[in-house]
Amino acid sequence: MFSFKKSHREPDIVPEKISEKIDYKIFLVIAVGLVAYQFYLYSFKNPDDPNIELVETIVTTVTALVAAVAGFFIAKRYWKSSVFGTSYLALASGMLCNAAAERIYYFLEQQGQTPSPSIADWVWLAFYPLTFYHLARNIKFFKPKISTPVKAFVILLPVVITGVYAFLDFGQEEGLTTNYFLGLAYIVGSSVIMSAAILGAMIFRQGTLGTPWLILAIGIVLTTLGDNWYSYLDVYNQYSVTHPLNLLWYGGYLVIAYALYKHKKVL
Amino acid sequence: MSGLDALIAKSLKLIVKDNLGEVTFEKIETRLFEKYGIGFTQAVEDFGKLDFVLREFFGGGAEGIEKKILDKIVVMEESKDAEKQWITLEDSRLMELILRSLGDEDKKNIINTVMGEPKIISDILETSNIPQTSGYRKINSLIDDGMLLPKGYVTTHDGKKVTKYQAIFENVSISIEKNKIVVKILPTKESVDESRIMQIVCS
Repeated sequence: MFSFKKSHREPDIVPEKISEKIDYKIFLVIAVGLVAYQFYLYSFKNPDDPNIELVETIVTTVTALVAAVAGFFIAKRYWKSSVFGTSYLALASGMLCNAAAERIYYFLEQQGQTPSPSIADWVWLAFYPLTFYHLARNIKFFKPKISTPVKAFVILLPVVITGVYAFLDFGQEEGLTTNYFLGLAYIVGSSVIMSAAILGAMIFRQGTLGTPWLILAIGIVLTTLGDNWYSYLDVYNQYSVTHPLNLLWYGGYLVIAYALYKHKKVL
Repeated sequence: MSGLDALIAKSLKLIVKDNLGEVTFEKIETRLFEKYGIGFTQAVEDFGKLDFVLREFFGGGAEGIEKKILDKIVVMEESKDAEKQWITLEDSRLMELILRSLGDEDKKNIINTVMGEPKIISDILETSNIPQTSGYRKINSLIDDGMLLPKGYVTTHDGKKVTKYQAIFENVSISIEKNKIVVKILPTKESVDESRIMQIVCS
């Protein structure tokens, strides 16, 4: 029996306007994976089990490395270009710093040394200027006329976040200690990059590049929420390795990796 | 294509490649071709189309990229007289193009001949006293580089229309400031009016 199939390909139709959509299934897969991981952590009967620390370190390192590898791949794609090449290299290096800091922290802890404040914090903090460079380099190059309310929002957002934290933490810490300034540095860094990422997403929002930038902004907002939540928990000594806030960091890194994949698809 | 646009198109292409990479340039060019059936250089002439495609990719970022790219090529000098605005060339390749043309004795004579007053090619060659063969080659090279702009026609006795050409600038200033060569041109009003790119630079 014969079957008739279309042997020819349908001709490609040139779209009137090109667009790129977010695949929400990716977000769902990330969310389901993270929730499953959290339940796995809860399956440990002893919350002080050293394996939990190891698993947590591995997951943080791997998720940050996934984003770093995606970043280096994009940087290599635009290797000789002065805006995309250098900015994506900076972002990838920032993600690599996150992975390296996690390993250093774990190593110091295993050696019985104080993991924080330590060199690990400096490596973690390096993520912010590197990511800020990525965002600022792109925004500066593509910068359209930015309205005054948007400018005010971009400046006020980190000022308010930092101000609230500085005020609350100052009441808890015994004066202007190293821990106080360290906590403040994380808050300043994360709120500044979040503000810049939102501005970037607003600039590109009507173009196809707007999709990867929106996803990047979501990823950075997640890591910022994680940083802020951690800082408040740390102030009140309520943080534990199994705390669900860790999911914000893992999710943030994976979403950033997805944003980088989308960038490659768009340009 | 306007003389200034042809001159600037060469640099614009290289600047997009330098800043955003070869891959990005190819994406933009592919989209221009599938949407309008034109290449990047032609899109510079029809700047609205280039702007549309840039906006498709970069959204509001297109405004910044257009201004930024053009600022790297030319900078308008502040002037009270809107019709006499000097332009400083920022792009070294563009500067080199002008300096090379002015460094060539024949090309310099051709430019001098049509500075201010448009002429047909045979008149240019006669006035500047250049042999026909090399003269035609050099005039074509100046047209390709955008230094000469078609400006009106002359009808010959057998009814044919012959194009007249004019230099795109009225004056050129070359100086050395702090060990840096500074090239400024005073474009003709027509060349500015006909250039879509210059409208963006001036905006």
